[in-house]
Amino acid sequence: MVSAEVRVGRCTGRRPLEAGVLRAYLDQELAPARQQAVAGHVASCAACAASVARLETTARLVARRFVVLDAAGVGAPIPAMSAALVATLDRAWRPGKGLGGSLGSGWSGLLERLLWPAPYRRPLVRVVMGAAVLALALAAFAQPAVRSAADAVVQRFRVQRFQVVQVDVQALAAQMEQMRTLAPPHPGELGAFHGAAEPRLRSVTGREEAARLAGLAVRLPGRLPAGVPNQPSLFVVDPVQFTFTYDGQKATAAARNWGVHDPVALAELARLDGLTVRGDIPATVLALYGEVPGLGHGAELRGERPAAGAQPAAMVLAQVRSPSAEVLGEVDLDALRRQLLEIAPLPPGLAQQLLGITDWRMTFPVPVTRGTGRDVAVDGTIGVLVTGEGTGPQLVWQRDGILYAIIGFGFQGEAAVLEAARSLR
Amino acid sequence: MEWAGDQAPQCVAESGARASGDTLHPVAPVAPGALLDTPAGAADDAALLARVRAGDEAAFGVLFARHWETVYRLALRLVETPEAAEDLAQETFVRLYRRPPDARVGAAVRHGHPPQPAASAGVDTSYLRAWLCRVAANLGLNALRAQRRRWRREETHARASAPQRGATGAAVDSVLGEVLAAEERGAVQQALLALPERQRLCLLLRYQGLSYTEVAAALGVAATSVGTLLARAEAAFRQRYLEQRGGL
Repeated sequence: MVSAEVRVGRCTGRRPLEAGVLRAYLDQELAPARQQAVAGHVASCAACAASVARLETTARLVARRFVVLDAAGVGAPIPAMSAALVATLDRAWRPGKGLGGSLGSGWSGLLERLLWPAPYRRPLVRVVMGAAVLALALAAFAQPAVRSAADAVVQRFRVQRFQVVQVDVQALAAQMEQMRTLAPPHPGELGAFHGAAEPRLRSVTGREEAARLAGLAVRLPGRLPAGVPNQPSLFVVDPVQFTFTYDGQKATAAARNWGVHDPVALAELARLDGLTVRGDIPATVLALYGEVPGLGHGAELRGERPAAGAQPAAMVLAQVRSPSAEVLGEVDLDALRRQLLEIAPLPPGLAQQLLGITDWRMTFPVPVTRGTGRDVAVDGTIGVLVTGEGTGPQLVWQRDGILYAIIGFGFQGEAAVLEAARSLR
Repeated sequence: MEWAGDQAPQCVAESGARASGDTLHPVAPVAPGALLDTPAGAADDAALLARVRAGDEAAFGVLFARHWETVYRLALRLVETPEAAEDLAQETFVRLYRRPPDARVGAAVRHGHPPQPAASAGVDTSYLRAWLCRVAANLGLNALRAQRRRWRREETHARASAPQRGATGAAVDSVLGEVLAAEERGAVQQALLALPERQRLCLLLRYQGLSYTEVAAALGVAATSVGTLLARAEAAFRQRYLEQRGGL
């Protein structure tokens, strides 16, 4: 092996310079004073000059070899960064981190995870959740407007049903690329959220404690999917209250970023400055049957299935009194919602779907990227079943003012979750 | 990497509000060039990293924009296809998101060992870039080893079994050229794999454009010892390569 320390003759200096120093000198990586000193020495010492020359020859040869490694990439374009970022965030999502400021990380993270588990499209769930919050926030009323004692109009609405919304991830990524933005649109651009950011997840000993904390009669399935453990671990998520205050100035700035320049449209957006929405998400009961996984896989984004057996069969049942919101003020929320959805930089199909939801006042959109969703009869009402989306089927419905969600992990059979739902007691 | 001075970082900054206990604090808008071209690159990385640890996705986006291309190019040297390189690069950033390095990455160089000021002032004191490249290099080397094991099992080199294209001279030449290039690439990778780990990483990082300080940070050695390590690594690499090819 060629020793880096072989020298021609002997160094003329008092302390011979080592190969490491000479190599650093060659790369001009020594401190300026030292660099100069070594340069001076090398100029007058044949041995060290020869060493430097040898080091340089070797370095150049190595560099040429590394250029060969680049050959595969020559001509290949750098992948579009926005799309890569979307994909990376999708893979990197972790529970409890929430919507980056939209609803409050703990609860929304949990909600996201439960309703839209792996492969979890976090950025686009933000988009749709954002739209959903918008929809709820700007809803007219499930109940007629009431006049409070202070003679202010209060509009109330409550989630009563779910509807599938098809989301095209590629279109979203392409649009972000086109907008040259690194983040999809979300409600933080339109105003300010105030509210508990990290509601706690509490372990509870049994149904009674859960029922007491959540204020609802806890129901559990009598029949479970094959391979799923019989006994659940029960948790209760703290309730969350939040306030969203629409900021006309922020909204017009966002609209400008989205390419809206019509002064009339911008003035309309600015007009409702100060509009306030108060949201209330009651305590959620979670029943975990088995091991629930962490995160999604990038492979899912490319349509590959995760390796079979990677996820043991598991199931989650969530139940919560229907979240509600109220808006103070006698404002035409319908028009504002329509306006925002029409100009927001959402993939065209998505905006149309959201605008097209007929009773959007009480509807919560469920984003579906690759799978399919359909209405199913369950628990005496109509629910939404999504299959082919994540690591298992997803079922959501509302009954007697309580929202239920069942998500399967590690199996695809929809019959099993329907059975579980129908056996609730 | 060019950041065409557009408003993208500003969008990110404005919308990258971080949820605190009560109010959201919108990130102050920053001029597009400021984030990426500042001489105090390391400080910005550290500040952004702190926000990433707190869950700020917008800060992560900026770091992503800053280092994506470097990481991708490094990955491309070790894996077989651009798709695999992109996958590897994404995985690297996923690691950043899930387990961001703590402040000690840079501190090891600054405090634990005799600090050596970078000869060239400027943006090359980016310890985060060093960390990212090290992660990517390790992932890439693992992938490379796995790939070679697969090839050995199949007793054929997928690249060398070039498609049987037409019989024209030009096609044959290009096929031959491809085969030779593939063999050459394989020889370089093989030589790399034959080195001790520290030397191997030293070469990969240095030849990806990292400064001595960055290489030192990535490897957890004193900056003053990078020169020695590099000289040894280059000599060893040359030796291994010669053994493979019988002459440069």
